[in-house]
Amino acid sequence: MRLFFFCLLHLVATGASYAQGPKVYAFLPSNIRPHAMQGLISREAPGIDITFFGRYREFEVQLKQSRPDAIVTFRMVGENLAKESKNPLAPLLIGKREGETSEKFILLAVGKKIDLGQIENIGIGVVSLMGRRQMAHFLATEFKVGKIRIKTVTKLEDLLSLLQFQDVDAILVPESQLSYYNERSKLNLVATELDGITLALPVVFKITEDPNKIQQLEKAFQGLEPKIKGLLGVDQWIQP
Amino acid sequence: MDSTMTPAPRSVRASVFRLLGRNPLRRAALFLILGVVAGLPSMALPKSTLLVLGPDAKGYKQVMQGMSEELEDEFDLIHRKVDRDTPYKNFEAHLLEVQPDLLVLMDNVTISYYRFFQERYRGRIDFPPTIVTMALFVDQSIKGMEKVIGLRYEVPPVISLTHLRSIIADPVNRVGVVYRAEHRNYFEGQKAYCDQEKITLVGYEIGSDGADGTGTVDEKNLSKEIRNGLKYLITNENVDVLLVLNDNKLLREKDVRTVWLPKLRRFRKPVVVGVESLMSIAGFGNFGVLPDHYGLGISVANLAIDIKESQWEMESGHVYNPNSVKKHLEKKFARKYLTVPPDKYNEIDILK
Repeated sequence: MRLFFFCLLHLVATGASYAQGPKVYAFLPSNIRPHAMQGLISREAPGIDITFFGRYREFEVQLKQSRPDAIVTFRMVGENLAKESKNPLAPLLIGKREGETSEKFILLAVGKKIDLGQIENIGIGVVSLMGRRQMAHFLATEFKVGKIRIKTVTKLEDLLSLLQFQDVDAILVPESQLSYYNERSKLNLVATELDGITLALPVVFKITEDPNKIQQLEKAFQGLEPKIKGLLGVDQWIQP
Repeated sequence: MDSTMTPAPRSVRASVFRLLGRNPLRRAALFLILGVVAGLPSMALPKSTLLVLGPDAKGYKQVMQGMSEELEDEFDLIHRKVDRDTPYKNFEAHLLEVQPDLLVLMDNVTISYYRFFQERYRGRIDFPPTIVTMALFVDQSIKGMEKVIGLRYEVPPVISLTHLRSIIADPVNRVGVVYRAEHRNYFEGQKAYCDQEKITLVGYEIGSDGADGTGTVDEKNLSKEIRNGLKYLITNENVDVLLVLNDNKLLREKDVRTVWLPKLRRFRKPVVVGVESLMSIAGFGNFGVLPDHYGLGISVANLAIDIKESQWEMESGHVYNPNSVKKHLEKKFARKYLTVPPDKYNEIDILK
């Protein structure tokens, strides 16, 4: 009887550990709500235990409190986290879309193009992919100016209201999101292309060194349906 | 309970700041000298002090969280609880003790107290720039106050309706709104924003015929006027959507039960509301666009940074709009009467 009980306990314990796949934290602001995105990926890739975060701070705090096996986020976010924590993060899979691993940023304004020579004097709305200081520093570096005036929001859709109320002169968005804003708004949105200012696409960064978990992660992300990959902003994952 | 998010030696700093006034250059110079004298390795400028006075209930805490996360590099945030149970003398004591560079007031109680404070101390002290939020109809509340700007709590119709339009495939072209004459300016302002988005707000004004033109109508006539307004908008104007303003006078329990609900139940088109309680009443709101309190905190932070970067100058009396919302949709109603593409449900925060 005792033997049977121990065997049962062992089975339950090992079963539980097999059922629990690699833990993944994801931060990829989009028009889809984090809980919905989490549900979609969990159904598609039951082998991983994924949590989506809607805000950078929430993501950052949770990372400090409980280390996952991997994170999925934009490359710039991962690099910033690695810099702040002084722990390098190794890319496991790099996102690619239409053959590119990055895409152009554009400025969207109402009714006119932005004079890039005056960039220091205009207010720019951005989704906060990192903290305010880091975003301002990133943009000032990219625009090669000393300082830049930004207003931050946490959701894509909130950028539009900054334009509706003229709280900013322009919003900074990846080029692929132009259609999203044009579908939502009847404002005369005019794009200004930015030479060489790009957003690297999402990357799966590994934290675990466990080869089994790494294999599970690769299988799960590579196996996602094209539509779900598209929601993550990629059409394929490539090895670094 | 008072909560100080970043403790600091108040009495010493208050004395130093009193000595220096609000001139940031003078402050910077002094701290630079102090830094050299003390042999400090860092020459970073000191953070400014931001005092938040308001309740500490759930929504207010979320606003505080948004502000503090966004402003941690720029401000020391101090929160002191002030609500309707707090005596005025405590409110005054917090202000005089902290002497903030920037003040944030949350809730209508703090606005009333601050109006009295300004009357009491006008000409005797230099009032700090102040941002008012989490208060209803802030436009009227801050009128006549010195160095005060507002951030509205109510979600502006243009935001609610742009969200609705992006979710449903049904028309959102003509939107009916019942409002009191007292809120005419607000309605006209929001109508102009909606026009830019090619959405027409069709208003029905209540109380404009009153003797003083301020929307003052007696109780019985108010119910009748609301009924007439809804009938006019639904039948005569055949609006695509009804938008309900958060006006307590239009939403008395009796009127909700006997005037609003009978009309809305037969409407079978989107009814947009801005408070959760109206989503909870069966047959009332079916699309809620509610303030995102964390996002409201981010908006306050954006204003705070603007004020600091403008050397504490600001256009007093200006009222800004919030940017961030949470979307609620009544699933049963949507499936029965609206056309919602399946993917769009993923953009909703709360499906009931």
